[in-house]
Amino acid sequence: MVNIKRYFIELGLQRVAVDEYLASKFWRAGYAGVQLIKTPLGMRVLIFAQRPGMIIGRRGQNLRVLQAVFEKLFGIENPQITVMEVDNPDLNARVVAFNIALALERGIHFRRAAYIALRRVMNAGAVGCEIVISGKLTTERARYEKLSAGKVYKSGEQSLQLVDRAVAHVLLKPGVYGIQVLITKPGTPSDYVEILPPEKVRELFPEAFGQAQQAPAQPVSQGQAQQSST
Amino acid sequence: MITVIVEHLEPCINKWIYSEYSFVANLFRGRTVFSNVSKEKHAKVLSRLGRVVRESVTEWLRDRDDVLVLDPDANEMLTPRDLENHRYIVIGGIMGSHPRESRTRKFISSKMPRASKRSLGPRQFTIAGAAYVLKKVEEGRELNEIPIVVGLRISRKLGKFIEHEIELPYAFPLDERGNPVLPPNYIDIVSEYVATYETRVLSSSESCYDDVD
Repeated sequence: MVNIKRYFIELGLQRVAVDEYLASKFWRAGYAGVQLIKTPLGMRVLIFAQRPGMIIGRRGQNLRVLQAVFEKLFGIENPQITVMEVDNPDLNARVVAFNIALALERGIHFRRAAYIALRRVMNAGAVGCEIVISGKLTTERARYEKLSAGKVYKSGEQSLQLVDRAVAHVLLKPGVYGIQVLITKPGTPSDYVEILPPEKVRELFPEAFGQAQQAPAQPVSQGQAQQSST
Repeated sequence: MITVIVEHLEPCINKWIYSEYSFVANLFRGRTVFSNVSKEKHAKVLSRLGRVVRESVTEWLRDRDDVLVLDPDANEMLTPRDLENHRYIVIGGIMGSHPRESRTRKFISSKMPRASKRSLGPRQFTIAGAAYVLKKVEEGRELNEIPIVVGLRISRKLGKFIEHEIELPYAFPLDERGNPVLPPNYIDIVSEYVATYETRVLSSSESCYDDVD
């Protein structure tokens, strides 16, 4: 009999291993994530990236290598790889973190790179964004620099549902930099309360509003109300 | 009367490290020595702050018994009595890493077997912070009587809605009013100057450059 817990844990571990491998190989392509879907023919591997062409390679040569790696290294049977462009790269924390890492590699100062990334994320419609960069140069102290805008939930249900978090590392000549990106995606948090104006209430709930108008002006006692209902 | 020796271990001198060195020199005026200053340019800059010795303290004072090294890895804590028995106090002239890499032990205390080693506590101080604590101990205060704060946060607004925060994860001693003790213009150096300096370093082939004439 198959141990169900072990089966799903192994499936999860396999997904994480594939994800980490792809992130380490294709971070320059704006790698955003992977989905493994079991089909009757084998395993469908859906790879999301900002620049899919870099993952596919010339005439699909990278895909052939990936197929062999998935089969031999990760034990995936008959992998069918599909590379897709991520919907909104500016709202994907991983893509943003890798883009900052890429900018640092090109010699752009991290404060400038983070500022540009933050503005792009906010312009893409995010509720909030926080970018933390840590590291040190020679003759400098190690420090953390944080740029934040809007609302970023750190705990509770919203942090699980709305906040996307990613960490990237980049090795530069003067030392290693760590980049952490938190993006609060557009959506309704669980603590959201909206007070509607009377006109909108009348529009949305016309029946309730009509009943309230027909109700008698003088207060009705609880006993009378029960009698009338029976 | 103690003499403070700052073992210069950084390859370049920029405004950040210079501000810390000048704070130490002001605190122990006429009693500060900068050792391990092998570059002519560095010797010229640091001679404005105190005496300059080309040799490393690990060779210069290797055989003396009255040397005390301030090392975060030391087992014993510094007390006012220690300063009565020692003439030279060595501070590592290193800009810290986080988490710390025990470079004071690696570059100084391990090479000075006869020197005493004392700690200022489990937290890592800046060069200026360590010098301030040393000054207070010299005045007769115990380490647990000197208030400190761990982590310094510098916040400012960029534009209308973007908040910028810099955090230095080190211990900073507090003065009588409860404010962290920092060298003059330290906040401006960390928040403004460093970005310009780093941009120049990142766009060049060098890992650092001297920025103090």
